[in-house]
Amino acid sequence: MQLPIFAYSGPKHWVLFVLAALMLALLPIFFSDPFFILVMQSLGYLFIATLGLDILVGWTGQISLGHAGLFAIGAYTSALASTRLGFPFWVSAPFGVVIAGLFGSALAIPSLRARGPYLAMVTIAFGFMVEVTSNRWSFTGGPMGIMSIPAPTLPDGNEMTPIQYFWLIAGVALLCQLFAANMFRARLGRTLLALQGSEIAAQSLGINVYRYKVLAFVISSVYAGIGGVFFAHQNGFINSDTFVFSLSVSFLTSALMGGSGTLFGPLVGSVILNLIPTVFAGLQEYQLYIYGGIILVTIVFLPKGIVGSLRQIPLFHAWRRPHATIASDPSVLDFPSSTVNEEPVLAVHGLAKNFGGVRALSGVDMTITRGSVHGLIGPNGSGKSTFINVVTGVFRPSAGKITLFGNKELRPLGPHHIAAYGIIRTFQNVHLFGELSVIDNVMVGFHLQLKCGFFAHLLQTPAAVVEEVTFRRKALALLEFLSIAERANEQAKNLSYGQQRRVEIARALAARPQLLMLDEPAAGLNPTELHHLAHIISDIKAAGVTLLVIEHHMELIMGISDVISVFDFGQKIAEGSSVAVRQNDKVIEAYLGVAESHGAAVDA
Amino acid sequence: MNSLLVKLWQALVSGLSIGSIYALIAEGYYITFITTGTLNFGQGEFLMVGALFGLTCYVSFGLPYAVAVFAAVLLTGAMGFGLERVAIRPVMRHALSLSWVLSTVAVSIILKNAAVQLWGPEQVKFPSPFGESVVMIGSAGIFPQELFIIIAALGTVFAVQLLLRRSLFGKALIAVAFNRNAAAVVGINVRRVVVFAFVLSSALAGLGGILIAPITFAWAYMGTTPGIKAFAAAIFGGLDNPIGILIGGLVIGVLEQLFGVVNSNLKEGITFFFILIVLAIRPTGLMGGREITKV
Repeated sequence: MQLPIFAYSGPKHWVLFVLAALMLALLPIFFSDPFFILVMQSLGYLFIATLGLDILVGWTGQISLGHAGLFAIGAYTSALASTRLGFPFWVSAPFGVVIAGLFGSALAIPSLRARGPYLAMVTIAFGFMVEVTSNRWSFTGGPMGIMSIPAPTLPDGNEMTPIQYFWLIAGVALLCQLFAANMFRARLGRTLLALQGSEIAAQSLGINVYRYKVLAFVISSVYAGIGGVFFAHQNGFINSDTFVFSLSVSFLTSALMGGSGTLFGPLVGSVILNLIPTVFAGLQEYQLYIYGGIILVTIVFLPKGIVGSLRQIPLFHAWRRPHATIASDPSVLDFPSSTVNEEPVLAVHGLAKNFGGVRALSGVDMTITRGSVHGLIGPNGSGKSTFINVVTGVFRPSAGKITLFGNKELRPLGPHHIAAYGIIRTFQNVHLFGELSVIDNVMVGFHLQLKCGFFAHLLQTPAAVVEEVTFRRKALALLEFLSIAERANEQAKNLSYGQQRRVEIARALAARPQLLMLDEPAAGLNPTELHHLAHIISDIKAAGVTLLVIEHHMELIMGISDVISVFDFGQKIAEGSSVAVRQNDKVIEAYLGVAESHGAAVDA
Repeated sequence: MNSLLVKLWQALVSGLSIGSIYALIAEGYYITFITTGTLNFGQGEFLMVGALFGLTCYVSFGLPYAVAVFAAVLLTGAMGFGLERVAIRPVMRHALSLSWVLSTVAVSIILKNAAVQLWGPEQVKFPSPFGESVVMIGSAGIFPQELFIIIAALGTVFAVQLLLRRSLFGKALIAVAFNRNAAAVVGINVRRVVVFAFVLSSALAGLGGILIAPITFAWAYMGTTPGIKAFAAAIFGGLDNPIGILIGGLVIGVLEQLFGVVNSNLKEGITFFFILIVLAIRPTGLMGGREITKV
């Protein structure tokens, strides 16, 4: 099958940027009014900071109401380095950006686990701390701030003219946009959107959630820092009055107004919002009415922002042309576990898990033979899902030993470490990355196999582009394997439940499992889909992958399993072939109950 | 040495009085948060309107203080009704979970502009109904208004809790907080409960404003800082825990004033430093319900 691909940086992408560069270069030649140049400079650095914030808000779904603080740190660091230490702009500016990035990584720590209003508080508190500190500390000039910050100099020793400074800001802004586009369209953007969709599913595919969240914070802070540096050297004077809460609000508003998570949203939003004071300069008294009104109207009527709403107009759909098509690469279906190794894939001994006083698992011993389909059944609440959760590191075991491949004892590590061993799972209540396309969901599954890192994707090196295409072809093959390839470019959340389950299996297979654990794969499927699922499972087994299947559908589980274990009240009560389990008294008792002891007397 | 002790004693009383205002506003955050998952980021501006409108009633119209308080509470309560209509209800259906942050901030920006036009940008002295002379308690001089604030604010916090737990409408609100759909199924008008939550929340902010104005000043920009500090108090205690919020408000108020005694430069920053540490250790506040991951 051939699949058109849309989101790619190709020649068209570069042409667009060359055109934009040309336009920005010519702009001040045609409009050389000093006030106009000044406004354009400001738009440039405010845009960069907004773009940075949008990387956080649009890509990771986190909120920041403290970006003015990061903007301030860039500005103050560069201003101090150039006035107190006499550093030239070309040294102080990168210094300011680096320090802003460092503060961003520190800010990430309290932000990692905090959500919603709590996360908002973290960022608000940070913003206020920066404002108050810079206002009170003598080192930062106190309320007076820092004066006579030098303008950047040219190699010949002369100061840059405002037009030259505009060119510098515009050039950097363009690069920032280009880098953001590169990151967004490739691995990083995909991974961050995946985290936004489901952190637990992302971890189960080997993604280190903390690392990516910190990375998003750092990138965002670096962008804010760049904005701040340009601001300081444009103005020549800074004090804490600039870096207040309302600046953070205006960054966030710009991002949301333009359309957060869209490529050009931050540009549109920051230009419109920041032009308001200039355009309505005559209406000084009503400025805040207009400003507040515009925020309210956009939030209420354009929830996806200007760009986000425009994208929904069919005209713009037609505009979107696929960049290329790819063919599937079925080599992905050769699984590594077909190599002969007779040791059991997984062995647990005395595994226990307590939740407070509830013993969800107690003293479970179980061995999963390589190449088998191991069924796991039991009444609701018998500990089946807890078993998967403990083995995959979602929960820490209270007691017991987990051994992989006969020799590797599993320590209670994070789920992403366990995924790296090839222990991959699906979820009882499907955890797809809803905002991503179906094929991108599968691409996230390849996370641990992708070699090209952050900088390769940032610069779109040939290796990175080739790798993307290579794995996209493999992803397509997996979707074909699960008969869902025709929906590859749709958003995962738009699929039916049964289709979503198949996508989830494809995504799990992308992670090259040694042991694939399916948690109630048949739940919610119709009879046709059920039949299909049985085939899929036997195909996966034939490909050499060991499976553990939790299921309530008896016909299915009896048909596909080589061995079945039965749980009841957190204990394994039976194990054996489907025939043996079906005739086991304890199993019958667990499922059907047993006549009370005096019942026999009544019969007699 | 003795003078330091006096200062600490004074700081404690001031801290408790400011802290009880924080707690009062923060209980407003609690009420709307448990019912809708949203809160009014412009709560500080509602406080400001309460103070300035109260000032107009009390000084310009010469009404008794109690009537001014009542009028301020009534006005801000009505504004809460409008806020829910304009900034909460229209964005609740949005997928974007943080729309309400900006919509309520937008309302607060508009209110600030309106206040500047109506009352001017200057700081105005709000005369205390209890006079400006200090009462000596031990060796420390305390303003009677400060004691009144503590009694009135904490009294209101308890009264609100009583209302929520004892009255039928309060129980309906708790039911909506517990499970919105189930509450609707048993015949509770969820929409009305949500409106009520915002009216109550806003009225609390208005009351806070007219209470605090005599010890600060009344002006258009007075609200932002107490609004944010109260938010910090709510976060400190845990947005879903009224007891935690009360403690959070008092702790933050006292902490601030005590650090103010040591070094006035530390006073403003300490709250935020403190809250960052708390959240790094406990991401849902000291007494907030923990999130349990269910897979």
